[in-house]
Amino acid sequence: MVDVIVLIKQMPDLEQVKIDSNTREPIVKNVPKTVEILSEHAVEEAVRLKEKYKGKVTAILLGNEQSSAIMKKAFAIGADEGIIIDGYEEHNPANTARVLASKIKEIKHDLVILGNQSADSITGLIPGMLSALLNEPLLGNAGKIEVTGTNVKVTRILEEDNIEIEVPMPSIVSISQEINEPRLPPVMQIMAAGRKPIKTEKIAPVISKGVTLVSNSAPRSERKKLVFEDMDKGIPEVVKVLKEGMK
Amino acid sequence: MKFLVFSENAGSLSQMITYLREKGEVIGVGVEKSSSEAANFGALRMYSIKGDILSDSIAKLLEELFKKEGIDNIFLSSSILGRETAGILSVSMGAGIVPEINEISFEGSKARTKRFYLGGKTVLEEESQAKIFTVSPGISDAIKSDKNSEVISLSAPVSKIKILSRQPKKSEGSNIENAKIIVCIGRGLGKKEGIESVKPLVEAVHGEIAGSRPVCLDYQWLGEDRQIGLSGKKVRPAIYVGIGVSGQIQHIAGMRGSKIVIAINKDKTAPIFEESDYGLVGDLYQIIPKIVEKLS
Amino acid sequence: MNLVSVLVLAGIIIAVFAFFYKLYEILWDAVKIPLKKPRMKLDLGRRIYILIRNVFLQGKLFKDPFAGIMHALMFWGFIVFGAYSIDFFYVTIFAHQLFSPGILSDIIFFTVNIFAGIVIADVIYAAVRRWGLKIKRYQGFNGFEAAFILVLIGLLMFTYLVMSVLDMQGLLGGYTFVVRSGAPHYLEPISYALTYVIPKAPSSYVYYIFWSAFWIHALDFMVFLIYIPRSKHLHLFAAPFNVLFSTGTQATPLPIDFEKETRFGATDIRDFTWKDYFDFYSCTECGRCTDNCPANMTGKTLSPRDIIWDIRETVMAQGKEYRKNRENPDEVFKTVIGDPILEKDLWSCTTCMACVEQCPVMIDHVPKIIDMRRSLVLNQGKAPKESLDLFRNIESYASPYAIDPSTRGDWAENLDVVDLSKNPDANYDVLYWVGCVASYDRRNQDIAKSVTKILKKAGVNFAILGSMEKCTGDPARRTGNEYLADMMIRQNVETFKEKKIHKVITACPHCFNSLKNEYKEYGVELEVYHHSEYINRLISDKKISVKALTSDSSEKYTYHDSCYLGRYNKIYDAPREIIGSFTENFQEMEKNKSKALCCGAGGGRLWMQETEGTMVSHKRIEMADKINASTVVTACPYCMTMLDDARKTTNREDKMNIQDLSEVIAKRLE
Ligand SMILES: Cc1cc2nc3c(=O)[nH]c(=O)nc-3n(C[C@H](O)[C@H](O)[C@H](O)COP(=O)(O)OP(=O)(O)OC[C@H]3O[C@@H](n4cnc5c(N)ncnc54)[C@H](O)[C@@H]3O)c2cc1C
Ligand code: SF4
Ligand code: SF4
Repeated sequence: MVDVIVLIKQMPDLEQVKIDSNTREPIVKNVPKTVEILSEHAVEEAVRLKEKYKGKVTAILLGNEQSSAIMKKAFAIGADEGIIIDGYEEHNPANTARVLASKIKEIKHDLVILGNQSADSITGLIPGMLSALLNEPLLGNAGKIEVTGTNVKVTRILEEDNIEIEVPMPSIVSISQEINEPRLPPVMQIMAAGRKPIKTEKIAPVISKGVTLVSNSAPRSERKKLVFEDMDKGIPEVVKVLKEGMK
Repeated sequence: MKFLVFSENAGSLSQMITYLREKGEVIGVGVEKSSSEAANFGALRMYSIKGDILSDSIAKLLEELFKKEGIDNIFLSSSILGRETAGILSVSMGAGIVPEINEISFEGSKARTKRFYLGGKTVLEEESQAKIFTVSPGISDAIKSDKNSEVISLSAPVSKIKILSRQPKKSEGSNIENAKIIVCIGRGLGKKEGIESVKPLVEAVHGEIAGSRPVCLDYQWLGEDRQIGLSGKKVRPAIYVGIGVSGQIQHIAGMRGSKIVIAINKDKTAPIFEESDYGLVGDLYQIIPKIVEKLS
Repeated sequence: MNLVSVLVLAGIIIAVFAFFYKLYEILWDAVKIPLKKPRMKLDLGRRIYILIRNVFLQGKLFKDPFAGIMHALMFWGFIVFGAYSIDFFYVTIFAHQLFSPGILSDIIFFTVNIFAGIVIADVIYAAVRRWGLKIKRYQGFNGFEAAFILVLIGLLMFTYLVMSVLDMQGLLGGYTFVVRSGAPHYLEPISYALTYVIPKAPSSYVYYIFWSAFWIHALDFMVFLIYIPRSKHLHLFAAPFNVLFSTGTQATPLPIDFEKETRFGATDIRDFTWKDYFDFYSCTECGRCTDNCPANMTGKTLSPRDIIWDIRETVMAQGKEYRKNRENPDEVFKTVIGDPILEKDLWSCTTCMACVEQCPVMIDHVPKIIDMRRSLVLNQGKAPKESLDLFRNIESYASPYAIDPSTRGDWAENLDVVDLSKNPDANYDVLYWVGCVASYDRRNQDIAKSVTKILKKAGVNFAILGSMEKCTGDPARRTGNEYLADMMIRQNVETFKEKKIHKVITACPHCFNSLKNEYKEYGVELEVYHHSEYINRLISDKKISVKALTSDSSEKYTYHDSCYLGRYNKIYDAPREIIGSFTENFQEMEKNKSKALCCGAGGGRLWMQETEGTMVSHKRIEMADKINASTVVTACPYCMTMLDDARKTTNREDKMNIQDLSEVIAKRLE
């Protein structure tokens, strides 16, 4: 038996975020929210662990009422329970981790599974923060998870090599995208997911301190489209860009 | 000001030291390899950690050094290990943190930083009292200094995590999904031997070679695991260089997420130029050697 | 009654019983096992028409002329011979003729005699085709059964002729009861001819010869009767009914009610309809379907014949078991997917309908294949990786491409086109439905631009939906994801109703087929035109005029039929007439019109890699090259994509162009 908490991140669909051509600021309002792709892998992995070792999968999502579609997707894949924490709209990782940790503490679990870094804010800090807040060891960037008795064993994918590491549960496991291929849920499960209740818990707004936003703007519109027919001009430009990128 | 800088990667460590040495005193921390290779970039001291490195023990060690050395700010490279360690550290120290910075300046104790946001679509400029930063790769060139750092060996505290085994990465097979720079060849190469003319460029930019479908599937000039596109891999490198690729939608589907797109094609009307930041119109066999020459 | 009558009577009773018992069993299976009902309309006129055309006149068989003539003769021979056989047994048992001498009897005996000769020749010809010429589509299948049946038929005719010749030679004496003794020679011309060839047998042998022939004839018939429903010759009985019951909507899979149903698609034999059972019973293993299957032709293991035949075998085996063990259906009925039908074969299908078009007994392969895909997708979430991406994209971006849907109408920027998403109150007469491929794919945007140019030139007041247009659901439907297709169709139907859209033009046959034939079930009646029909009308109505190709031009055109335009909607002439409006430099490719070879993109294959065997598109390009076509005209963005890719990857860029109908016309507008 392993009880798993899986953390789901929702984010604006980046393909649909446009840039205001005057202010150069992103227009995020009204952009549909999608599930961060790694979260889908995380839910899939949690459900696979459940299918293998039995136990329960609880999904936690920071969002609002509109997030129920995303939670239903997790249900369809096989999550047993879902909690939407409504009222947190910050993007400060320290606060995000704190809100999540206080909820996780209330729920009995062996593993907390989450994506190792999200595609929109790219901070990659949440796994470490949760580990410290919950005082549970972090097995990061897992490409494979196995449970043996009361221990969890993970193949950690690193830049240079992979290592196999193990700790007693409970622990936090962040996953890398190659861990699995999320399933397409069967329609019966999609239909059942639609009828399943979602717990929504309101929390008081969290005010973040410490970091103030100076600006958030796009450095450029989509593609620059600088096409050179004169190589004496074009090649130096391209070489400059390549050198910059190689750093 | 006094900075503590950690990376397990020699390149990142020396880049960060180079970038920060103008702004204050730098104490470096690395593993055996990275600390010795980054020992002449101007850090005051270089701590070299022996043995295994795991995020919980590194965090403890950095916190101890922070106190011992009287540090103002800690910088960690934004690697898998660095990000995890930074997260743990910020909680245990109760300190503010800003991730993924690619620029920083100080006004007193206030840090002004820049980082990418919304998947790289926008740049966030922030002001904070943060003490910890993760640094995205390539914040500066690594430039040697005449000062050699004193290297001090130490071992990290014991980790809760047990390492059972190490598996080296398979060296064959492609790794294009994780590559920073991808050089993608298309049918415009004309012949398989053309790859030899592109290789120097791939090597010069330390990139990975990839191909369009005809190149990987129909002609098998490259392995099928190097196909980019709808039915191949979806990649998001920092730079994608398309050589002799026309830019059909099935191909674009696999590389649209690239940060910067460079295209080389002899046809001015090739659709790929619509998807590029920089385009060079001309014969690839004439252009590539010139780029390689300028790069070295 | 003498001993012979009694024995023959007993024999025929056993044979008839065995025959009907088997029929009863398989009909019981067809009624009791299926959980789904076919979509049936009375449609009497159509049914009578196809019954006459495809059964009595053997219409569909002539798509393969040699085999067709052979089979038709065999079929007609069988019918008259049936009449003769009834008479044969009647007279043996009751000792007087059923058809007493008269005009009817004359006709029967005359035709029987003629056909006896023809059928024997036919049997020999069939044997030569199968074992001498080794025609590919017959290979590897039930050689024994085929041989056995041919021997039975041959013997039946042979023994009849023996008796008839003996009679004509005046040797039969008292045994004349089974032949038309004393009939004028012109009534039995074959026998008459044979009397010149065959010498009279010595009278002491006549007794043995006659009774051998008699008993072989009688037993042969009985064996035949028993054997038919247990072999592929069941089609003799099943096929006429199958033709009569054909649904007329072969291309469209059954709708699914997601609120009520719990088993989606076809997993085991319970998930087909009784009409499907008739399909299985009717299959003759002739292999015409597989012979024309583009996937099979290019080295993939998909074979529509095997799919039908494998399910038939499963029905026969599991039906038998179920009749014994009715308490545990779940134990009896095992999935047919995986074994015997490979998953990869289901995904190789381009839904081109070549198999359905060719099948002489009107079997519907395609909806079955889609239903099995549905089983995989909807029950198990299984699909090729690329299709999973396809589903994700359609769901999030309303198109197969992961591109911001608000840019859908961007191709029309600066073209002064009314975009209803930006200008909701605009006035217009016709909606131009662009479709995903022409909206987003740069090569295919040229089609959208050309259509725009033509419509404008003709003064048609049209509008596009821009970012309000969404994928019609066709790629999802054909890939088995009916849930997603249903969702997309509902969204579009909503838009059609809200905007009160009635008249639609589209340049995409896949959109065309969906909007025209499949949106009805969701409650919108649309008047839909494919651009080929529409442009053709604009030309004939002189709304646009097209510059003729100069006679010295070396340009040579050919036309590639889109499956969804041709076989799905029977539009073959309009595109050819459009090309004909400006040039006579036109030549057909090897496979064209209803026999046209698919481009390889239908059935969701446009979004899948084709790794097994060779590429269908390459085969098609080779056909175009064989006739030295310099421009292959297409009428479908899918075909355009596949053929343009094939043209390039097979290095034919310099000698061949792929152009949409709209592009060739837009360029020649005067
Ligand atoms: C179902 C399906 C799936 C597909 N999936 C994929 C996929 O996953 N990935 C993919 O890439 N494609 C895919 N394709 C194929 C796609 O449609 C294109 O055919 C393909 O991407 C074209 O490859 P290319 O750009 O290398 O070749 P081409 O389109 O032939 O382009 C070659 C280019 O090279 C230029 N050129 C020629 N000589 C020179 C020279 N000397 N110097 C400079 N430039 C030169 C030419 O101007 C031309 O623009 C798919 C197609 C289909 C139908
Ligand atoms: S629809 Fe076409 S591809 Fe599919 S089985 Fe029939 S002939 Fe083959
Ligand atoms: S399905 Fe039709 S075409 Fe195919 S083998 Fe059977 S009878 Fe022949």
